[in-house]
Amino acid sequence: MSVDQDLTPVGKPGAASPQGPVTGLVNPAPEQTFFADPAMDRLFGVLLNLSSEVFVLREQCAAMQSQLEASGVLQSVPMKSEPTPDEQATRAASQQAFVDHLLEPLLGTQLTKGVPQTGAK
Amino acid sequence: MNMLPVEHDDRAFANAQQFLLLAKRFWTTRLHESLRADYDAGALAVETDKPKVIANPEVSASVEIFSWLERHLQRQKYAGRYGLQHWLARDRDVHEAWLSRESAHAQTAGRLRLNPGCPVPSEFAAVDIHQHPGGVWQDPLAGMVYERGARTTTPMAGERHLDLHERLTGQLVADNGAPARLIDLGCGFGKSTRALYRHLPDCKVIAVDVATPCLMLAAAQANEDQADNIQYRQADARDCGEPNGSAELVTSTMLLHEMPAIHLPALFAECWRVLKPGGTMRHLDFLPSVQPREDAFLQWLHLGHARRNNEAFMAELLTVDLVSELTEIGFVDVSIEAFEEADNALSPEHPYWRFPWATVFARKPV
Repeated sequence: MSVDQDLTPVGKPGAASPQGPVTGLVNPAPEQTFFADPAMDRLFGVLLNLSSEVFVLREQCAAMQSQLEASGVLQSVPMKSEPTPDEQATRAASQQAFVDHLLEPLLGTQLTKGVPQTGAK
Repeated sequence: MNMLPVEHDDRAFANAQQFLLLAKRFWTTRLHESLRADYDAGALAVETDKPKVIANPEVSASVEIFSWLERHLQRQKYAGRYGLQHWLARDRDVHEAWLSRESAHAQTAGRLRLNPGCPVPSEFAAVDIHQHPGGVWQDPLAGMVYERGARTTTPMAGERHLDLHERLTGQLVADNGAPARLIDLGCGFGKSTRALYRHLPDCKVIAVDVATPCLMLAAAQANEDQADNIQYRQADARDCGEPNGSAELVTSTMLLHEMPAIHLPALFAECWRVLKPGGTMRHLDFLPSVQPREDAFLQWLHLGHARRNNEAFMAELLTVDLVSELTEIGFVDVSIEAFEEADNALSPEHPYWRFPWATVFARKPV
């Protein structure tokens, strides 16, 4: 089975279409496609947007929790001016672990030992 | 607690960019490793630049996902809701005022020489390279957007993304000793140039680019460094304006693949012209053919990257016989070698995606 990469030429000109929402590009060209079904490309775009928004929300929640704890609403903790290097490292590791978890399905591998596949779906 | 809408929340932008960086690391490591393993196992082949699934239909999904993600992580980084373009444009007036002040100061101090009449090559303006909306040459903030984007181009480097340029500087000095005068062509916002003028304080560095926004940002950094041995100039690398035989060293970083291959002879001829007899040049760019593990898979990665990242001339560069071109001009000691941008990057066991860094070296005979 051959998987052809989309060879849409690089460039700006394209068919008439609405102005781009963020960049203001007039008559943007169709985006490159990578999946056999172009609907998948668009669905993945929504998925990436959602993932980004969830990450932002998660970080905002963490910041809010930290402030509520510091002000005694949730629990009493000493006020710190800056996270320590250990706290920064822990936060960074947590962020990477979250993203790895989010994207794990892209690897297409089983998490458990399954029955050997015979080819039938 | 700051309850401003996310459009005005710097933290939201920073976090969204952090997500994109971490996702790029996942792509660089686990997705790339998975595909490479498929290739090494014979489940994936590459024929004439197109991947072909040999044994396992699921491999086609990996190819599609890998390609899609590379394209769209970059797209989001620059032009998405939390993209760099949008983020910096929110404070446009502040940034533009700062750039103007710094530019004026730099011109007074001799660190910047702008030439509004310098034409931007038409092919340069025709494509938004790297999916950077509007390119790097027209919007006054384009240099700042480019600089922010460049911090995460090598996702494994993290905070050490500048190390590559320090290493290149070290190699340049090893070539021919510390030069008294060097010319850095296509300097952009000065990422490589800064390493040069900081580590070679006794060297006069002339750095050339056509893009005003990039030069203004580069000069602002030079102001902060209080550097007196750098001058940024607005000029085409093929006609840099320096006198004949005036420089011991000419260098460039990621310039060769940003111009049509037909312009390379003129670029190399300009290098020849400005070099002193015995002078050297070293250009850092991307060349898969000299990498330790050069195979069809690496070629596919690179050519796919060119398409996905709006690199209009990256593929053309691979068709050029650089050794012959340079030898015909008269250069000697011509060599093209893989460049180790980080420790163990050239190890055959290096598992992660990386740019196929390489340098093109040549000497003007005495």
